[in-house]
Amino acid sequence: MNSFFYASASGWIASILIGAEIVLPYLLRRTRLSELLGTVSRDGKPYLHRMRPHYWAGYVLIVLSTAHAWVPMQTGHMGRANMTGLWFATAALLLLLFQAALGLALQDAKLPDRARFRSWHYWTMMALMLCVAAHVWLNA
Amino acid sequence: MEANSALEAKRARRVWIALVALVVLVAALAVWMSARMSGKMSAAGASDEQAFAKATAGSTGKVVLEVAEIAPSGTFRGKLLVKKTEEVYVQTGTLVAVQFSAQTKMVMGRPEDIRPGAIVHVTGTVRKDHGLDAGQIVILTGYVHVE
Repeated sequence: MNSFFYASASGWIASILIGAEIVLPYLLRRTRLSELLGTVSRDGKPYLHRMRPHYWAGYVLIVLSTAHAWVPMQTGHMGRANMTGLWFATAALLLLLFQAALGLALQDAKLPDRARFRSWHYWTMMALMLCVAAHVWLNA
Repeated sequence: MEANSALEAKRARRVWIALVALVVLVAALAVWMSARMSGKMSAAGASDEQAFAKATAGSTGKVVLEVAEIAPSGTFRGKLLVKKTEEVYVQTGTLVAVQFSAQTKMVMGRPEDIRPGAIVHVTGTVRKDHGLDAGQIVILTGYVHVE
């Protein structure tokens, strides 16, 4: 039963963290939302420096998601789970790793073709969100 | 000008604290719900052959069964299992008939999960024939093993 608790808790925390991770750049950048809430810093720090909470939340998310996948796989409790949901979860984990790679590349301010990378980062986030939603719907 | 920016910084800090607190609160709620469900499953794991044999008609019975056969009209028969460890159960020779309906509360699964070989925890009212009218069925298949 402990494995159920760890898998369930890590999964829900990861889902919440995904939401926070998505919102963070909109709060850290100068956007309508950040202006409204007053969350955008005016201390003159460069934009990529201000994005640090977004980077760290991403790293934590990778650890949590891996743990969430590892616990039931290790205990062999996958037998009765919906297979389509598990495929969505696998896709989400792969997308998360791809997303982390894109994010790491975007940390370089001099990255050539930056706009294209940012666009991929955005659309990968959308695909990731859909996969996670499907996984939650089918397996939670 | 300086006072204005100090005020803005203070406001920003407050908003950030509120946002972080909100995330922590929702995460804590998720952990609590997971612990509650896990506790429910753990409590459901209790199964005692002797206690069930002595149970009188009308009393509440709690048993873990390995589903042996399904009959139409919401009835199944299962072999009574006795808890050995948290995740390992041992089969007994006792067969228990269970009646369930649309009103029966299903935890961790759906009525379709009740099939031969499935492991279920049943809480219900003991009948005169020592069967059970299920009030709650927890699907434990995959979470416990039978020796």
